[in-house]
Amino acid sequence: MKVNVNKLSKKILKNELCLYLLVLFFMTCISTVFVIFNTEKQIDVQSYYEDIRNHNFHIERGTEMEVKTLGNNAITFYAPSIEEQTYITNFDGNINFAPTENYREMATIPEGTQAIQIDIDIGGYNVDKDYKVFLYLQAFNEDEEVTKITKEIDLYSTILRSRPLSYKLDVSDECKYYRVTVGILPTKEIVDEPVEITISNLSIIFK
Amino acid sequence: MENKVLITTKNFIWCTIIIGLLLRMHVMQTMGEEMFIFSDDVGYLRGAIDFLKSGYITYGYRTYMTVFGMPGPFILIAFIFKIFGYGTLGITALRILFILISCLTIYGVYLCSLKVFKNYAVANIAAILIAVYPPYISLSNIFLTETLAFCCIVFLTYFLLDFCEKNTNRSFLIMLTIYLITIFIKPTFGIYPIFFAPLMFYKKIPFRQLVIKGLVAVCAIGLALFPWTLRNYIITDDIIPLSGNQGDTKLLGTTMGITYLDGTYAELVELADERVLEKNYEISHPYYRFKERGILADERIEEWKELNYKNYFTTTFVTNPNKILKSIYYPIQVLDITHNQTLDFYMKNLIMVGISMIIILIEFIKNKNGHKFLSSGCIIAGFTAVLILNTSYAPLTRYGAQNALCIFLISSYAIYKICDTVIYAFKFLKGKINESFSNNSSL
Repeated sequence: MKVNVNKLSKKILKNELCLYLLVLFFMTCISTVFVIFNTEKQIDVQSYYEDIRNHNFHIERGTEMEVKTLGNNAITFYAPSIEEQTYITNFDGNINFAPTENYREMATIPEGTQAIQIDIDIGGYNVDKDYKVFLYLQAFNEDEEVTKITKEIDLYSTILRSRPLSYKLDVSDECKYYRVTVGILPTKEIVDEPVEITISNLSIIFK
Repeated sequence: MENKVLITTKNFIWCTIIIGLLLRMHVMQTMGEEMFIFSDDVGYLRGAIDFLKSGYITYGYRTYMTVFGMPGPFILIAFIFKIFGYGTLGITALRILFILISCLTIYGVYLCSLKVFKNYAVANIAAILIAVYPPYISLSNIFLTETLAFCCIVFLTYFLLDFCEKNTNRSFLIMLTIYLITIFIKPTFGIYPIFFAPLMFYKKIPFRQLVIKGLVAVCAIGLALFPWTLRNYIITDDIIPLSGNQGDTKLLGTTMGITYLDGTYAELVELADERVLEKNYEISHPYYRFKERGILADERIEEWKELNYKNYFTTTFVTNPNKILKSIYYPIQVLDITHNQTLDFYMKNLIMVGISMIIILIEFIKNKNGHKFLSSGCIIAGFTAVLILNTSYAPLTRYGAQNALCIFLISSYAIYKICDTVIYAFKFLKGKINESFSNNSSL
């Protein structure tokens, strides 16, 4: 039996159901090729984020808190009570000034950068009632602050759960270094509630 | 001068959609930052951000590509984040998209109601109920798969009804496409179309055509799922056509309300993890931990069946679905409307569904027109099957969140009939009074 290919293909193209399956088949082929070349048994998504241990996150000012590093991804700060404004910052030195020589290389904003994007997950335990939590992203010249953004973080949760946040700070050529700070501010005079703050999935992107 | 009526029953749906949109926008405006349940919603956001950064879809575990969820929500969220970023603007854009999808669901319910009841007033009532239902207003502001899945199931219902009515290739292919999208968002809705078979036979769709279209559907599902299944196989060396986290939910389900089996969820998870270590799988993917939980859950279910089969049967197929049917999923309270107030409203509508079905049955017996009876019956059967399937894993209120769609769609008919009867009675009485007045005056 002879099959007229031209006739058959025309017939298939005229049939809506066949055409639908043909388009789907074409899409499946593309997706399959994509899947074969982009599927790994093991991956390392963490490599797309900063190693938080390199950042020297510590209490710079205020109540001392217990610090726990959870691998290269997260760091937690715990205190039975916080009675004064407390600041957690990466890099060393005073939060109103650029980091010292020890961290300058890491804190350097590359030349030509127009904006710094910070991706960060912040979680809090018990911080929704008596505390306010702020995120500060600052840019400095050789020493002093040039520009900054301040964002109040709403942690509407009494259990420790984080959510991803992302903010952008526009910078000028004058800006040489950056600093990330988290501020915990008690809203009442005497606060006697344990507080826990978690910082994770930090990513600094220079644009 | 011609007296023009601006709002009629035919265009009232746009007012309903605007009301629904405004309510949802108001919640976004006033409570936007609070609308997180810190569960799957944040998981999807994190997964989408990771997907944008790395090109891999992850969920919970950062060193493995996930097989614990379907790709639909991740891809959609990542697409929005790609355009608007994942800062405040991106989150707002995503919320607006979810709200618009929720409004599209309102319109979908209206269209479904028109298909079933062929009455604009009934369709408007159904749409209003969906538009003002607080749990759906709340859900449309939370990044869960429910909002997307509800829209899909509503339009799947519409095109299933459309296909049964018209039997055209166009309606079949649209229905099939929506079905494929639906299983990429919520795989448990996959069984839904089967329950429309009686309507297809009633509408006299030739059997040969049904077989051909069924084969096309099977091929399409196979083609659509193949790359995803292949991906899952490469990752885990196991065939997972959809998602591979059911084992965990199933195990959780065996700890909920079953008096015949011992052990808390935490203890059982520990036991399952120990077994995984003993088995020493070549691949360390967490999927195997979840799979082991599923095996343990199956063992417990077998034990339960042996101890008391009747209890197993009634709990799985009657008690649990019934419990979830009579509860609502209202994760974050909005517009100062409490859970109890909403539950009260929902339960009244559930009663209305019963009344609707009685009216529809009486009409069917009287008129011998099975369209309304079979259409509503198929919808109820489909939603019931999805509910039983969901609760057979675990009786969680979230697994019954879709019920309100079906309930409002059907209850609107009883509400309409009651209102219609009241108006008729009122007019009748008014007529009688006027008549007696005119009789008196003529005397």
